Amino acid sequence: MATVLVAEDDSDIRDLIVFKLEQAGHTVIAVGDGASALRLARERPPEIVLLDVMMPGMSGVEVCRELRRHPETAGLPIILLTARAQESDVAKGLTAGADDYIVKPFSPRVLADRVHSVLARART
Amino acid sequence: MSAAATVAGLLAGLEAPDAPGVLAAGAAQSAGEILDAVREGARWTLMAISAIVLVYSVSINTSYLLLIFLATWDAVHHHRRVSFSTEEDLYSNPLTPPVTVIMPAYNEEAGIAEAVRSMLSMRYPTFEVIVVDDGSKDGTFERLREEHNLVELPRVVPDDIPMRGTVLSTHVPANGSTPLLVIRKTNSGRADALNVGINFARHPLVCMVDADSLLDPSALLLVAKPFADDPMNVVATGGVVRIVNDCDVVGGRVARVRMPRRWLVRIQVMEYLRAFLLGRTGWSRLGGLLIISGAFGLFRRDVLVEVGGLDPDSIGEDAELVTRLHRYLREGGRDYRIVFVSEPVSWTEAPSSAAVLARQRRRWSRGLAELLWKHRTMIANPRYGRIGVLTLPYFVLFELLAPVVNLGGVALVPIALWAGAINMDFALALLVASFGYAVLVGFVALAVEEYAFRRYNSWRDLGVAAVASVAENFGYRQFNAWWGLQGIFAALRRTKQVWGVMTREGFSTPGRPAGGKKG
Amino acid sequence: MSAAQLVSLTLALLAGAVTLLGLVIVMGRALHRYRDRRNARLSAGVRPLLLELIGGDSGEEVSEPLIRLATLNRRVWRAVEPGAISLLAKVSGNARTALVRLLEQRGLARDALRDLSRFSAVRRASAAHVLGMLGHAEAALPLVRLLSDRNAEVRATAVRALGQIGTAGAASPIISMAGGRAPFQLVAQALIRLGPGARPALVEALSHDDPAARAVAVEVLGLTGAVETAGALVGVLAGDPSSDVQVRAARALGRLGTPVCLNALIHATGPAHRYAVRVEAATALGDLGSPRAVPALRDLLADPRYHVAHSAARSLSRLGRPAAAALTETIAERAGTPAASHAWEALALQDLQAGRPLRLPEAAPR
Repeated sequence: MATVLVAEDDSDIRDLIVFKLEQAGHTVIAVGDGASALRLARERPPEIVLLDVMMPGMSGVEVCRELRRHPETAGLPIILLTARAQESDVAKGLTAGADDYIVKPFSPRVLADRVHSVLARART
Repeated sequence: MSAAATVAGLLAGLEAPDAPGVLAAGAAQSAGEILDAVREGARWTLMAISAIVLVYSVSINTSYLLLIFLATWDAVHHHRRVSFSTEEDLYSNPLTPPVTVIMPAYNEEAGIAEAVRSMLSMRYPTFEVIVVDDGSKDGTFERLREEHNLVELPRVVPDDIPMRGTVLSTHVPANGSTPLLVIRKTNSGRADALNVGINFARHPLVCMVDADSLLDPSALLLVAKPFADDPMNVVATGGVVRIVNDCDVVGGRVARVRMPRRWLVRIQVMEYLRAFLLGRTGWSRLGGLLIISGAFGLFRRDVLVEVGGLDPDSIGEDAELVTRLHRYLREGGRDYRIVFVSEPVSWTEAPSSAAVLARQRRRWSRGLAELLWKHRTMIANPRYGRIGVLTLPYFVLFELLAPVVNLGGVALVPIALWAGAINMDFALALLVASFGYAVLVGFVALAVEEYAFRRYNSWRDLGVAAVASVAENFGYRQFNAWWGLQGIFAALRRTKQVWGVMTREGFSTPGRPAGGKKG
Repeated sequence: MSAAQLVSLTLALLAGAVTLLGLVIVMGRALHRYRDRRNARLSAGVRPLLLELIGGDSGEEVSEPLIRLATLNRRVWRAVEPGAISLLAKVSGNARTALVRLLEQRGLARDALRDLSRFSAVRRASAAHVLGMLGHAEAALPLVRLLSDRNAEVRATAVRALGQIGTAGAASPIISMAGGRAPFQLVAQALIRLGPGARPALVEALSHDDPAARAVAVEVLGLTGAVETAGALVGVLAGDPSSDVQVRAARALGRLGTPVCLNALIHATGPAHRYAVRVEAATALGDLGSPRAVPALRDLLADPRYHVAHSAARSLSRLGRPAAAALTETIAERAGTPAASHAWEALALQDLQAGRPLRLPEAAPR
């Protein structure tokens, strides 16, 4: 099981993700904004990062780009969470180097599965 | 006075032949009578002025109160609506119209990078940011080049709206995906810089923001909502401007709202609340909104092009633009709406020293005076609907002339009391009408803020706000009036100058560019 | 009453009013804080249960939290309810199913159906909102009736709710709301959610009297990929009296992207059409993405109207190698003209997208 860093400003969704991933046996660190996520990822690199695209201050896409830019965090698996129908967000996210994305509203089970498969892919 | 007495004496003398027997006595008596009459006249004048000041104070405060009540209806409505219609709806809606944000910048090297970064992370489906570097002499452009790795991308300069400045170069980020365009041009002022931005804008809606103001992340979404709701009719919307002094700002966003530390700014917070937030919401409800703040307004690009953009000669170009929109659309017989949105917030730094505040207020008052002069044919003209018969006369009476009546009252009422023109009761009544009533209005505004917006969270801030809305009336208002008066005088002087220029242009010889040396 | 009495009476009234307002402000805030804190406390206790319910995988896992939540006492439930309703919009799949089951068991749908005919507009609107969030199919008919409510807020909420429920039969009444009876974007959003079932009604609306209704129909057909309606949209682009509707039709055709769309759009860039329509058609050809549009777009580079030429250049920059060849040709043939400058811009854009250093004209216009 892995250490997951979650950045999501909506506390409902954040709590739900934490609950689901802890239930699946992961260790979860959750924050509410992009800047803290970036700082934490650099201080104690997790094994996978989940980023909401729309967050105050620094968006998930920006965090993703920053993580990719620095060698010590460049290889981190990253999953983006994005609102429905915003194809531009998805495109931006993938060009910024995200490994996968999950569209909101999402199913918690699917989210846990995605984290699992992205981790598996990263470990091989 | 003596001249008048002399004239009066002469007139009295003319009567002499009719009554030769009482000539000497009559002259002496009439001189005394004349003096009495003059004194009586002066007393009457003072009394009339006092009465006018009283009526004026009551009506101006009542008008504020009415506007606040209208605004309250809207605010309460908005408050309820928030729970049903989420921003999420608008954000994920493919019909939310794309927006071009135009940010004119002149010597903004200190804050430009932060401002653009914060703008680019706005919550909005599709938008581009155009920074117009208006001939800055500092490192404004260099900051942006470093931050976004700008490369020059030459563009054909569009000419929808006439421009005065010359476009030097256009730049975009090298990554090819960040929706940013930086235009460098020769210096020609804010209004012209905005016109350049409008020319280059690629989206149907244009948002004008100041480089030194901060927007709430969802501000753009909310101010664009009226366009998405009623795309056939809405031509312009404006958002609330609040004061950012001493708030906590993190990463280009206002993280915690606080009351400013200085009383001068605290009073302005209450003033903005009453006049800008509630006043403009009220006007918007009446369908007579005249001013959309330059710090945060959204317009339909095609209509801006039709009216020829902003007027570079205007001091208050924002208000002038909206007035011209009203004029143009009314004259064209079009159905249209201009809407003020009370929730989306742009945060701006308010002057914290009296000198800067004075300059700002002189400029506002001068801008208003010039605007009203320029569009004087609209005033009280039923052809222009509510703007003509309601808003503009109101602005002449209660905005433009307020400083005159205010200072007139301050200067003349004590004299009137001393001269016995009015008694103590009347003076008290005046005091109650102009100060007591104003305090009440301030408290009503505070109550609405508390109920509908609740931006200031601590008890201390609430107390400060209450004291500030009382303090506004003692000193601040009078100084404001004084600066307003100076602005009006400046406008009167400039009106003459503009006429001078126009005459000169009329005489310029063909072949030589006219108006080369504008006064 | 003498003047002096009148003045002191007014003064007293003012002082009274100010004091009263002060009290209202303070009390209001205190009450609000108290309620917030109480609700936070109450819902914090229940939150783990709610998470278990929506985070659970199987039927057994959720049955226990479901029973416990369904039997919570009213006071606690009222604190939890708003959060539970807002969660509905944030989750999908079996998490949503579990949540809907809970809310139905708590009687939300039943109460909301009853509240639809309340006197208070707020009650009616929030009832419609809840029914939409739940996707409660039985509510479709009463919600259609609510479309003629006197309150604008209620009508808007009903439109959205009908979209969420997804009853295709509601398409026609929803379309007729577009002309100012309900927010345009909400009407469009609702029609998009109705899916293919709404298409016959949308096509019929293309000849509606109200331009707003035609506009919304055009947009929705384009956004939902209704390729079989391309022919009808071509008719709108060619002959609609409203230029706004024509512009939207051009955009819709660009999204649909069938061959018939391509020809119609090329035709619409011609000088006989209105400026705004020509600009949008040139842009739409870029969206459409067919290299067959290249010759027409190349000719448009020399158009005297700036935005026609500019949009053509933008579209060419998106059309890959065939476009690049046409652009290079334009630069060679029309050197020194605005057309060449537009072509340079398009080439530079292609370079930017590909991550190459920019090709620039020898003497960049300075």
